[in-house]
Amino acid sequence: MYYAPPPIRTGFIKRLFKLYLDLYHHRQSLFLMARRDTLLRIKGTLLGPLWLLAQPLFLLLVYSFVFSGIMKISFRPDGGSGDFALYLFAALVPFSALQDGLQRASSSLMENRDLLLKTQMPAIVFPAVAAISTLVQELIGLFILIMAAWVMGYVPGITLFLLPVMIGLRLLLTFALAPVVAILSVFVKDVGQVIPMLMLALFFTTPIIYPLEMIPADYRPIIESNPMTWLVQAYRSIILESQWPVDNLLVLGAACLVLLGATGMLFMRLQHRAKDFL
Amino acid sequence: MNAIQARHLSKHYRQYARPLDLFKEWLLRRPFHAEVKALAPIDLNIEKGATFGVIGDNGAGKSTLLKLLAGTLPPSTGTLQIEGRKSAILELGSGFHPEFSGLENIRLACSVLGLSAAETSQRMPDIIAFSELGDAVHRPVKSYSSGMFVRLAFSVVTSIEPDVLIVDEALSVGDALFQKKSMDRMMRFRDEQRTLVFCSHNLYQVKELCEQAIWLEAGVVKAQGDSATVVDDYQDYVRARQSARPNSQRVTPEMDAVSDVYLHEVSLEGGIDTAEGVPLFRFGDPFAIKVRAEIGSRPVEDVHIGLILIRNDGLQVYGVSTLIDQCNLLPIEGTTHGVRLVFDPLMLMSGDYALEAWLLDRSGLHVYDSRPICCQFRVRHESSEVGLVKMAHQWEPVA
Repeated sequence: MYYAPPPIRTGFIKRLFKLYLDLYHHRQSLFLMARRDTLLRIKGTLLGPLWLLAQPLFLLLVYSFVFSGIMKISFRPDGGSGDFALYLFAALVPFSALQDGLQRASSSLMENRDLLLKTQMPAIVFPAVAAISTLVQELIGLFILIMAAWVMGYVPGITLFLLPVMIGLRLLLTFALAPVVAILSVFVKDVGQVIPMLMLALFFTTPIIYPLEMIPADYRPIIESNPMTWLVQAYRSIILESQWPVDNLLVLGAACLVLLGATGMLFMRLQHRAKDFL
Repeated sequence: MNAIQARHLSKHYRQYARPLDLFKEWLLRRPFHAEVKALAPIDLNIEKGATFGVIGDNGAGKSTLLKLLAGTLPPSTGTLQIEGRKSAILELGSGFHPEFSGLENIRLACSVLGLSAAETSQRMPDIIAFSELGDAVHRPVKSYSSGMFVRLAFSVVTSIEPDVLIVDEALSVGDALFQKKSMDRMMRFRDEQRTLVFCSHNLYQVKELCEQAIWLEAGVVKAQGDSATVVDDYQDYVRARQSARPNSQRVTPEMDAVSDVYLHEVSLEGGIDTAEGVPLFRFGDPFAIKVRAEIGSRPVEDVHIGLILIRNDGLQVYGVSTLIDQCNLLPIEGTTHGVRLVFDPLMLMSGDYALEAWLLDRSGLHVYDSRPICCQFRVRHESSEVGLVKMAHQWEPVA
């Protein structure tokens, strides 16, 4: 093995590739840690795995009451409150998974300080664990959603086979954002405070509690430049509308690639100095 | 062949007073930090199969050096080359989670150390047996005593068999029996011709376990070489610093201003000159102190010499006087009298020592003259015995 001060400019793609290759080498630790994180939240609780969904389910009730019951927003012309709840939940599940992942990522390096400084685990593992540990919660949410949709007459179509790809993209998006949040939180503790605010802004600029069609044409570009818009719309097409969201997948895939490159570069440049700050 | 080769390896940190300084530096492109030098550039050649000790005070840079060797900290300058698979025990139980059972913690810890699931399962019985936990491995770690915790942690880290093992103060844990077991494991490791880098406050262990050692002081290498020499030098240094009575501040007893009775000479005979100007004696060599005194108009029975051997931490090793032993000074010429105090063989163990000399009257109460600290000398012994002096002994069959 050979260590030298990291070269700054040479072989960017190669180093980026190596950064993510490290994840593959440590896939077993990654899996065990993600499992531990997931189990930790439900260990010793009465409701167990249901707690993973407590917050989204609670939001579902409140939002359905306010936006469907009171403000009469609906996603389809003939849709009632149940219909609204389904559309809302289809977007809420991936969104809360992403939100949760980023929130965990923001403290991931600090919480795993010992492992980071005292073992040979590469730093990128920790935000990756934060992203992956949201998977179980999303799967349970999606299962409930699909069952409920079925009961309410939305017979799942063949497009449901695309769901794993969708989940993969959602994970990739979370993972693409997690390293930035993680590394910046080390340098500036304020990031942990800013994340909830940013997530709130993201929540309302994503068509989650309102249909995309409601947005005035002037604001469309803003909403459409948000990758989350493409994400939640794709979930709805696949689960509720039996449509192939090809555009969404392409846009999301491209966004993930760009983000992975950009955040990976930032992470690589800062990860060594971050250790001095922990 | 070298297992570890470091060239000009160093580490310094940037310390920012406030998080804002980080941004100022980034925006203004001017330094807004204090540079903290944790480790000055260091060169290391550690041969394959060697054991290498790192000693020094807290905060001397030992852990920084080990972290650099382990690769968990990137060096600020220099290069490091390590041959073979390496593993580091920088802390016991890193990443252990109290809510999970011992078994689950073993799995993750092994995985972090780079073992596959199959390798972990294969070693699991050994790990559990070595940790002496028995059925407790199924209980959450939070229910463990601290002894159980370190035993588990140690069992995990030593179950791996790397070519190069870096250990930071991990051995001094657990009860005496377990310490013995873990020491044996380190010895076996050494006997298997694996390379071991070892840092401990237990200097005896370093001396015994390591062939080579390095002594760090405030991030700078103070001494490097044969472990016995380095450890002895460090011990001398520690004792000198711990001494409650610094040499220069000793209060000299009030002297008879007009006395014609005074110490003329106190000197050591023999010894090898060292670079620091302190004579070096080997354990078992003959050792003699020569004292000359002016007794003036006093009768010879009324002037006695007392000598005390003092270690550099202020400990009085042995003191005796001509008064106690009922002997007299012998005339040399005129009123000058003298005597030799001979220790043959010298039974002192390694350390830095000095003499205290007193010129007393026959009551032993009046002090004519004294030399508080004089004739510093150094003793080195080769064997593994520890302590201050060799004591007469024999081993006998048990009835």
